[in-house]
Amino acid sequence: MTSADLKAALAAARHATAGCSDKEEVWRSAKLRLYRYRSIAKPGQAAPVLIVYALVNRPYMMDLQEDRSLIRGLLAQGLDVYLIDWGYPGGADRFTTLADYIEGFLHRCVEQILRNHGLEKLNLLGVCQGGVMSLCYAALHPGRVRNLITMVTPVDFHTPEDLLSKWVRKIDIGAVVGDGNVPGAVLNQLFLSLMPFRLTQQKYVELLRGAPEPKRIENFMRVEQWIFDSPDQAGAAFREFVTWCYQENRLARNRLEIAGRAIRLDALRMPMLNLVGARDHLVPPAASRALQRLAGSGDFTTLELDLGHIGMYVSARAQREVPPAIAQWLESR
Amino acid sequence: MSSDFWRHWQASGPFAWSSGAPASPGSAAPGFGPFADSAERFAAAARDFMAKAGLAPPTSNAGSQSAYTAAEGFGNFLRDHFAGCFTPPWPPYPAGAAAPVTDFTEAPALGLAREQVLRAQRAAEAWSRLVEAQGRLQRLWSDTLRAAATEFSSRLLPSEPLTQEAIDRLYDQWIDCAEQAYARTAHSDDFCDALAAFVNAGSQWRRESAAGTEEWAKLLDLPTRSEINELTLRLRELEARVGAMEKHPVRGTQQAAAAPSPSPARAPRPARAAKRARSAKPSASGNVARSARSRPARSKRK
Repeated sequence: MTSADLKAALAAARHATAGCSDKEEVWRSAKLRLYRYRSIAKPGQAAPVLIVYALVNRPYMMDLQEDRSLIRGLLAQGLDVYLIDWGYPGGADRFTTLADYIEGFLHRCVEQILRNHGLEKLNLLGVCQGGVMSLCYAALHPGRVRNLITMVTPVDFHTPEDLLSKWVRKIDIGAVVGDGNVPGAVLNQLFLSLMPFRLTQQKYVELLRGAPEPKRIENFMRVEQWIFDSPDQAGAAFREFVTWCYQENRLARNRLEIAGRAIRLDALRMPMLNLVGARDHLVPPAASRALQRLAGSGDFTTLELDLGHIGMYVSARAQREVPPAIAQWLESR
Repeated sequence: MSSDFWRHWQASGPFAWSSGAPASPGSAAPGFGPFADSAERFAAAARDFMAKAGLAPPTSNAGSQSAYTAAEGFGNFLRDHFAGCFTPPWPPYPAGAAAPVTDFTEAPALGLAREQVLRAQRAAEAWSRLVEAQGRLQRLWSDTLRAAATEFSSRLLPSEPLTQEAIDRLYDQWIDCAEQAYARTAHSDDFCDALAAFVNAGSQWRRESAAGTEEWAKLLDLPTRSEINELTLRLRELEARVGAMEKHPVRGTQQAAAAPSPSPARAPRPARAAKRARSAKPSASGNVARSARSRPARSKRK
């Protein structure tokens, strides 16, 4: 390889954009957009799947590129897929609470889909923090959720391996947030600090010492774009999430309340599928596995894959295994 | 083998930046410069180690010492490289202002400027705590790099020829050692305490500084963040009331009249709302109800 090859590949990769599947906007509210993806296979019998992504980072990671797209994999299985894009909160959103997100935005997305399909229930797929929001929603509206799928979702925030939780335990989150939003750049720094040598040094050296294949470099640059495309966090919701979950572990203790209503995991009775990343450095496996112990569902499946947090949606193995596993699980329910 | 294996990729063209260290991990870095520089430093340390190890049996004290020296050399480079890691992203004082001294923070606050002096003292005290916590974090970081060097040297077996692949493996091995050492530090109570002290002091300093800035803004008749926040909250309250009226005209009107502050988008309770609607006076609710029926069932605005 030559430096000219690498330069050319990097220059070409600058134009690589994330997102590969056709979709249409079916509803919007303020900065939120609800998308429905166009089917690419014979539709199956399962109810629509609504993907609830985290407020941290952007949801296009679910559909990064053709060979790294959880959404494309689900579409290929004949599923009808919807996705919530929360947008980029601005200064005017600083007082938006978790209740606004869950009982306001998420609830209205669900109602919109159910009305469009003339259904009473849909399938909910929550990713990471979106999984926590999905658990809360399912607890508040069990009659709206047929099946609940959680992916790399923290439930017990006080497991010994949870570095983020340890770090924030003694931090005055109210003072950090104040009345403002939390800049995405601050979260980027926080996440890089979890593994500073790998994430700020080694991965770039690896890129340099590998072959300058355009596809490899485009893949890298798309993921790089996603990693640092971090929306600011609405201050109120961030403060609530960190205080209630990371500091007080209310979700696992059945002490969480959203809009004045109790969230009890032991009251969740719908079928549940929990996808766990065995090498997840952000959400330790034990933090996710706890859901099986805490949920009241009699039909609970845990699928643990030897993948990291991001690998769960974009690795080659995830492409092969995750969408079929979800589709088969839904098909049988 | 090139002595600048990684650096030659940035020799010219759009990524020919200087290889200055970034201010902190994750801060804007000029292309591959810092990473290539870091890797080159490591390669130089590894080559030095290999050369010395060739003169001494790998299992001897001299071999082990040369490995440690190489790893420590790289660790020293990283110490400089990450020197700004725990530096807050804002300056402590306005340009030209003198740094606080203990005399100032302990001076009595008297007279007309009492409140301003107290605020400045609180900010100065917070800054002192921040600097102290920063020092603790830097010491822990330094200890981590030393532990990584020790671990690295204990794993080395300098028996293979000096190839690029060998240096690649050594580099990856060093990263493994460094991450493991860092993980031990990062999970420790000392680190968590220092980090919390650093963040909490920074928050307090920012709060006091913002309060001072607001005071200046008022003097200049400029809108302040507090005033904008107040307007934002009023707007939220109005949105909540309008939303409630659109969903349930009668109940919403009653809520609008009674509620002092917005309730965060609670789920409607149709049965109760219908009961209230039935018991409401027709003249009071009819108009609202008719206008609501002419709209879509659910507002699309938040």
